[in-house]
Amino acid sequence: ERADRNQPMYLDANTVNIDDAKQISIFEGNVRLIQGTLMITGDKIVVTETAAGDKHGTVTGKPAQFRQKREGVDEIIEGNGQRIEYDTQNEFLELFGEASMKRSNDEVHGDHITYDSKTEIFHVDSSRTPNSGQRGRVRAVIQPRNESIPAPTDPVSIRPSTSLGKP
Amino acid sequence: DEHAFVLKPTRSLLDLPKPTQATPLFMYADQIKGVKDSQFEATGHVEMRRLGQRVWADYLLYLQQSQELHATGSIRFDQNRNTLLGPELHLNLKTGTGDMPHPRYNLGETNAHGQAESLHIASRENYTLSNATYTTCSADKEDWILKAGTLNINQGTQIGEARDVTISWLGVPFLYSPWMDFPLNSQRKSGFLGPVFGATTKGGSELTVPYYWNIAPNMDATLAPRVMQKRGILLNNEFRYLQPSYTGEVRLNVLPSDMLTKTSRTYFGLKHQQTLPANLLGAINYNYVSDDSYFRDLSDSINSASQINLLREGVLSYNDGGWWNAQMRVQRFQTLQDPAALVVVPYHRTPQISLNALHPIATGTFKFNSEFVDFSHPTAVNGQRVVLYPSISYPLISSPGVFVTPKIGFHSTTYSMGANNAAQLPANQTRSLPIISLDSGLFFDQETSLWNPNYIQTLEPRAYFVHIPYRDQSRLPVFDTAQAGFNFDQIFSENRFIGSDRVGDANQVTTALTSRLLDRESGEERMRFILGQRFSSISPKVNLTIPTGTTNKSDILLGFSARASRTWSMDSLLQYNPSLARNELFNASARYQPEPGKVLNFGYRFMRNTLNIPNNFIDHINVSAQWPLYGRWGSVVRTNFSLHENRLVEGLAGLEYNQDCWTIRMVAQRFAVSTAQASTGFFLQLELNGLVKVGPDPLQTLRQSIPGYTKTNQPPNSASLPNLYD
Amino acid sequence: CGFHLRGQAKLPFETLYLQVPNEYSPLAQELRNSLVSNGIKLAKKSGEAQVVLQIVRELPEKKILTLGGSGRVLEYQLLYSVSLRLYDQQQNDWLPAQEIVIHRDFPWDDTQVLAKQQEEVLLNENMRSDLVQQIIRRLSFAKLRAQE
Repeated sequence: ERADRNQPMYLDANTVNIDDAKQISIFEGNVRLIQGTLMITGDKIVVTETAAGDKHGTVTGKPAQFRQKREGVDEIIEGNGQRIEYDTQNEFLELFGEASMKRSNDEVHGDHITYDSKTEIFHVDSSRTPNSGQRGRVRAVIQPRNESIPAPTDPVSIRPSTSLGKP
Repeated sequence: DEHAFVLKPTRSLLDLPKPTQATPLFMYADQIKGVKDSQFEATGHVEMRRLGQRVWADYLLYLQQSQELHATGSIRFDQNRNTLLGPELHLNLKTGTGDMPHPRYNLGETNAHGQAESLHIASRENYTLSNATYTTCSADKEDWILKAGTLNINQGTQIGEARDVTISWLGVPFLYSPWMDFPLNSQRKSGFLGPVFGATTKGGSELTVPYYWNIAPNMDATLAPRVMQKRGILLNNEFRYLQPSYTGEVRLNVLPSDMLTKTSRTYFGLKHQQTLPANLLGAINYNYVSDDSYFRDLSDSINSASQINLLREGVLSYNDGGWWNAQMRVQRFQTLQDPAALVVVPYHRTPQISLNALHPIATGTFKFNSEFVDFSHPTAVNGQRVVLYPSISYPLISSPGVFVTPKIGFHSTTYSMGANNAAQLPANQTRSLPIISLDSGLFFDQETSLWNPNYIQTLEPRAYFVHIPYRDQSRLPVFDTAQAGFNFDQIFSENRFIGSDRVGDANQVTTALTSRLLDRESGEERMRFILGQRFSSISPKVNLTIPTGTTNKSDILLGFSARASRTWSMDSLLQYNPSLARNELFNASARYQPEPGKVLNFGYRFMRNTLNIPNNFIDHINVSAQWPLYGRWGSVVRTNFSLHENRLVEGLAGLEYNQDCWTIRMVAQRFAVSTAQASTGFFLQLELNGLVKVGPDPLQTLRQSIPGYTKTNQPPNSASLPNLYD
Repeated sequence: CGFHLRGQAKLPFETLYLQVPNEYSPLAQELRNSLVSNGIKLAKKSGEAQVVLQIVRELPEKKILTLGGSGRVLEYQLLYSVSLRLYDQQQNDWLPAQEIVIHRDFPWDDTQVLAKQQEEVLLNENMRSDLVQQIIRRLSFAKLRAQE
């Protein structure tokens, strides 16, 4: 949720290797990065810090995973991929390699997913150049809302409407 | 590209269950963009799938909140085995309603297809198109097209409904109608049947537009108004019903006012059969026609035009499958007189009660036939007759090779005369006489036959001896009896009369020799040769007609039939009168049937008019054929030429052109209706498959009258639709 | 020549189940009697019989054969066709589906309707017994056909 960006960031891992000069720290071995409700796990995280103190994490894993509570809704959004890039400054996540993301049991799968947690807009596309003629490899599974649609009553043969309703 | 229209929608083998609870939705694309909960935007080779629905598009927007789907760019939408193609699609997955501009559609079940200006989807089974076309012809050869202001396709009721309709065939618009409905598939659904245009000498040009009304699974009706130029509108109606315990059909044809005769003419027919408790079966067959020349003037089928005595009968019969059965019948006729050839009205049997039994006794059989009949007649003598005829037959020898079966019976009849006794016949009379007969025969087989090893030849001599003493029957009335013809069935029966008013005195032996050639493989009879003659020690005293030639040798019967191969078969019979050295009867027919659907028959029939009843002399040649012509043309011909009258008594020809989505049939016919008159007619029927149901066609009666015809394209709903021309 | 008195025509089976569209049709009753007199045991249910004789269709018909110049019918043709099939419990064909058609031509006279009606009944009876004889003869030639 939005408040995450002001939360402190905790990182733990089996081993840490910090290079203060270049402001790069490498965490390896069931790594976890936590900031507020955001949690990213994986085998290895490389965190770099910019002069203004904004951090950029590159997580790799089999797969690397992230979870975050959504703004104003008691639901979580989660995703995984072979590599996750996270930027604290503009709260932007990018998942690469058999990436998938699940939001209130809707799923999307593709080669590359970008997710802007501020606007909650995500973007999925396949690595092949677009309209290469093959069926797109991006897939989405959208679950219906929990209420069941009314069973269709027996089709009453209605008179054909003379004026066609435009959408 | 893969969305090419010609792609046949995949036939889903199972009918998808109606989705009651919502089902997940799958989306494939090159790219998908999602905004919070409300929107998914897919671009590039988008495919959306949900149970029973599939959409292909270039771009697709799905609003999750309202479950609305908006797609653009070479859309293909498959649903309920239908395929819709268009530039855009707006669909609400929750309500199932939607719209598509400039759609092209294909109804999977019957491949009916077309295009329209706009499409409104009311549900999975209900579509309304505006300015639409509809045809079932193949895409590349749309021979007929229906254009409609609005076209509603309702796959729930399987009925298409069109407004402001023009139908064109081979580019020529030939029918306009403000409203029309038609069946979407071939199941028994109400709808128009193939219209028949025609012209007859007695009715002028005419048009029949039958409408089939499927009232219920076990009830239907065919209403076939027939507009005749010279006579007016004849309303042909037939109603049929089928229940587990009873079934029947009612026909009512009404010509309110015949412009020629200035009268109203009707025909009413009822056939009803009902199984009743206690092994009883009831049946009614009642016919009424308003005037004697109804059929001669208004019917186009020989079967009805040649009717003279219209049956009116009620029957109640008992049969428990046991050794006896009984029957009660009330029978009258309506006799249609032709002024040129008046006919004696037959007796009414009001009632006729018969009881027959057949019961084995040891190895013999006891047979009992009995009958009580009350004969009534407007002018001829009325009376009641009781016949009792018990008999016992006992096979002395009954082995496959030999049989000797004597039979003895006692035939007794009592009469009591009623009104119109002009000839003052004695009020009560009885006649009783023994009937003794001995039937014997031998069966010889020969394994190797003369010219062909795989045939078995049989030789079956038979001798049938009958002795019936003479009884003077000249004072007995003649209610239902006539001299029987001389044929192989009759010469091996006891009485040379048919009916019980006369029992012919006899002391005769009938001999016959039958030889058959049997196919060793199947036992089929390839060839049959029969020779028969009767030798009588007395010249018959009981006669109804003056006997010709009173020698003790009867005519000789010679029968020969052969079925040499699958394609050739022939049949012939000769009755030669040795005392007058002349043929009394001769007929021969040959059939050439190279394959089913191709048959050619040729026949010559000759029968001397021994009873010299006016124009009862048969000297006819008949030729009939069912033959496919060039391409898709099929022909049917039946002719019957009377040599001595030098007149084509019956000439019918039919042509049929069968394209995959339409059929045209033409029939020309001319048959004698009376010595001077003939009924000539020409009929044309156009059937647009899928639009107009396959109905009774003028060719059907003609086809069925060709011996050896094969039922080629049995109409899909082969539930035998009422034959308009029967 | 090689003629000899016909021997016992042994039917190639002992038990048979007769399956007919209408139990009480006269043809079915006459066929049952003839089978029994040829030493065949009629099974109550098709499962119990060695072979099943299925009478698929029994169709008596009456067609106009000769129309007179007076527009009256001079001759009718009575047809009686039966299509049958004989198969065993494993659905192997002993007699492939085949049709037997018998016909009788008989002169018609509208002035003798009652007599002609009775003649029609007589001819139908004779055709039925002729049909039963031909069916029995076909059965005696039946044998397990190699399944092609």
